Parts: sequence; structure tokens; C-alpha cells
Amino acid sequence: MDETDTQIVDRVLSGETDAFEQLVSRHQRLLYDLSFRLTGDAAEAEDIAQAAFIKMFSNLSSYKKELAFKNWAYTVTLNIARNRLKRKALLRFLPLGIFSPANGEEDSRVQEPMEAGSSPDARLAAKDMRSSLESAIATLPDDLKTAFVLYHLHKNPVKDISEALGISPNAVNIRVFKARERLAKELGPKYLEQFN
Amino acid sequence: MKNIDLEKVFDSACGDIPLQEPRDLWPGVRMGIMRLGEQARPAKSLWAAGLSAAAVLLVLSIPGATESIKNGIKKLFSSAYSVQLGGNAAASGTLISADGELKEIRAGDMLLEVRVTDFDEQRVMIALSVFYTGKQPDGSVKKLISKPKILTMKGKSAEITVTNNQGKPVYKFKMTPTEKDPAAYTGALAPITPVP
Repeated sequence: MDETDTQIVDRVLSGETDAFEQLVSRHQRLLYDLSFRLTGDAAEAEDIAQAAFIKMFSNLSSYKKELAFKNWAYTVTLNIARNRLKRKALLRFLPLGIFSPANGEEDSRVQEPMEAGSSPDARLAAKDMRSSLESAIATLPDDLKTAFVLYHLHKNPVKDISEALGISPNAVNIRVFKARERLAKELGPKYLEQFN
Repeated sequence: MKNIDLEKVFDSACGDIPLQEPRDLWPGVRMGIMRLGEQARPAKSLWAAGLSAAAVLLVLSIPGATESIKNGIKKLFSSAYSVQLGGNAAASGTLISADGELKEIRAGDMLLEVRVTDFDEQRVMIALSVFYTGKQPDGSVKKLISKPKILTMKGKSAEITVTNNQGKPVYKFKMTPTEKDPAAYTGALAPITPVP
């Protein structure tokens, strides 16, 4: 049976520094993905995720075990990301086009539902919608974006997001709701069938 | 459209979005952890002489902004330095700092904090804090001696005069910062007159 995060934390605190590698391995993908979606920059995202792990290590003795380690990791990462964005005046979001199809590929036709089967057209349509959705997510304000990413992309329950963001579950629901509304409004004209 | 429907729509649509994959972050995290350990280690008393030593020579050589990354958002400075107090052998090393990052150099009872910040295309800000970390009569262990700051042209020699607590010039700090020229950042902090 796999060790729990808390058990690994205990090992690290007892002097097994290298056990921390397991925590990095378990959580780096989520922290990097979140950082990337906030900054839109792969190198910056990597830097933020690394800095978050280093900070977690140095503050490990103050980690409260009643909180899930993952939620604490999110909190630390978000604090670092926000500070960096502010400091570097990068409080802006991914420009449209980062995830978009190559130039000239955009069109305004109504897409087939992506579950419609495995025909090449359907697969192409699903891919196109995915790109559009990622671009639209990137343009959300960061509080809505964070809540949306943690809920819909990382599949966290509202309670965990509430813990990570330090806001009430109701506030999480409102942010996710607003994010969906904005995205539906953005994507609706292009994907009539899905979002209208 | 009801929000519950949108939730299903986005659950389905986001299910196709893969999380961003980082490279293995552990090596960088491990290095950061090791660096933390080094900083936490008590400074060794390499020199018996404190700040009141008659002859104190501190030389700082910062060879240039060597790399500009991420479209000018962050610049990296690689700084070779040497520190010498009294007649003792000089300690030297290399200081790697990002643009605006505060770095510490310890030498016996001396602590030098250096921050090199890119100001604009032509100018750079050099901020220096010189501390004496020997035990003071009042029991304190970190006394700020001087905190000079200068905005200077890249490629031009800049000079900072460091005074003691009576306002008397004690050290002179020289630096010639030139971006992208590894040999251009050179500096020297040397006493104008011996401290009595």
C-alpha cells in the first residue's frame, strides 16, 4: 500500500530529506499545470512550482496535518504565483492564440458534438473546441480561472478548493459558476450546440 | 441554459484537456533545498577581526548580466566575488542572482547584501547593504553599517561611498555594470582610511 503524504512528511521531518522527492513526484504535475495556466509561461511555471516545493520543504514543520498536503501545496504555489505576477507586472493572462490552432485554421462553422463518434471530422472538431476552450480559460480573471482549473481540470471537490484558496465553499461555487458563464458566452457563438 | 447543464458540458469538454507536463522538478528542488541548508548553517569565524579591524578590504566582482531570458522579463546575473578582511586570505565564489534578487555574501562577521536590478536599457540599480554580525554591546547580532543605493549607466563606472555610523567615509565601492559582457561587472570595496 502506498504511503500517505502525511507519512512521507513525517519521514522527511525525521531527517530523510530525499523522501521529499516522492511528494514532488506526486504533486509536481498539478502545481506546474496550475502555474502554467496562471502565467502562460513554461519556464516561469516551472520556476514557481520549484520555488513552491522548496518553500514547502523549509516550512514543513509548520504544515498542519489536518489539511490535505495537496491543498497546502496549492496554497503555497498560488501565493508564490500571485506575488511573482504582481512583482513583475505580469498580472495579465495568456494572450489568445497560445493554444489556438495555427494561423488560418480558425473558422466559424458549427462543430459536431465531440462525443459524436470517432470519425476524423469529429476528432478534428473536438480538438478545435479543446483549443478554443483552453484559450478562453486563459483569458479569465485569475480568481475565476484558478477556481475553474482546480474544479474542472484538476477535478478537485469544492471542499478541497475552499481549503486551498482559503474561501468558503459557497464562494468557490460562485467563482466556478461565473467562470462557466463567461466561457459559455465566449464559446457559445462558435459552438452553438454545446453552449446554447 | 441552466448552470447544472453547463457543469456537465464543461466536465465533458475539460476531460479532453491534458494537464501540462513538467520535466522532473526534483533535481532543481533538491538543489534549492541544499542551498537552504547552506544558508542556515552558522557562519564560521574565518577571521578574528571584526568590523573594527584596522584594515578591511572587500572586493566584489560581478561579471555581467550574462543571459537575458523570457523576452527581457528576467535577467540572470552571474557574479564572481571575493571578500577579504584584514590580512587574511580572500574568500571567493560565484553569486548567481536573478534580476532584482537579493543575495547574501558572508565573510566572517561581515554580511553583504547585494541586489542588482535592471532599471531600463541603459541603466542598472545597485543596492548594497553592509552589516556587521558580531555581537554588539547591546546584545544584537546584526548591525546595519550602511545601505547605499545607486542608479548607474550600464558600461559606466559607478562609485558608492560607504560611511561608518559617524558619517565618516570608510569604504568605497566601485562597479562597472555592462550587460551581456561577463567581464564588465567589476567592483571593489576598499577602505579610504583605516578605521581607528
